Amino acid sequence: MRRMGNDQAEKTEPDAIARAIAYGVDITLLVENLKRTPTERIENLERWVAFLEEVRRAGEMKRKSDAARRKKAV
Amino acid sequence: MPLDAKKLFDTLDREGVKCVIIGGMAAIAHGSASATFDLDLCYARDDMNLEHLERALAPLHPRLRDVPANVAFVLDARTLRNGLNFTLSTDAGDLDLMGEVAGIGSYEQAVANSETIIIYSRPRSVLTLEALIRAKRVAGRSRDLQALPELEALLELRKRGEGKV
Repeated sequence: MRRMGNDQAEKTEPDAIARAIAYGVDITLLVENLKRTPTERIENLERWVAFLEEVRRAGEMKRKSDAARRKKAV
Repeated sequence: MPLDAKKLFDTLDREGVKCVIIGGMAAIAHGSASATFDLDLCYARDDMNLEHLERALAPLHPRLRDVPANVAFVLDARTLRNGLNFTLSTDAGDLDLMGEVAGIGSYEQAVANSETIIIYSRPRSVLTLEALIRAKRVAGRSRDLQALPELEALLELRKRGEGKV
């Protein structure tokens, strides 16, 4: 399968791909995704969403513990 | 509740619910790299399918999202018949049931604008990339419009023969 870096696409494709790149879409991620099956794409999403949830929870715990520390200091 | 798409699909399969995958999950199936946190489905509104939906979802304890837990809600065929679009939380993650898709129409039109994609070893109806783009354009919310450049790029990549279906 052909690989396409963003720079290469920008030089040669004044089309939807170039517009997407200009908008900030990382075409390399799309090309990588397209190598996967649709099920793999969904499984990948679920792993990513679970990771985001972990990060969100960690941030929440940190904010709570910081608030408790500040309260104690006052 | 984190999204467990397989569990949601398995649950709907068991009752043979007629639906088309739309929205962010359709975009993911087509190769989008954007995150989505729920499963959006356009469902058939015939009486039998509403009953199938009721039976399928009951074990997942569907409740309305962003509504206080003490507000009584039962997702049964009657509720589904009296409403159209439902934004739900379930034990397998968030699920949006849409009776109509902007720019496409009801389930029958959604089926006519869908393609069969194998997801979790089963053929499923997924809104085509072209229809998804049309729906996002018509919906016109900023998050829909923001998704367009990526979806149009995916369409272009597909025309060039990239990707598995």
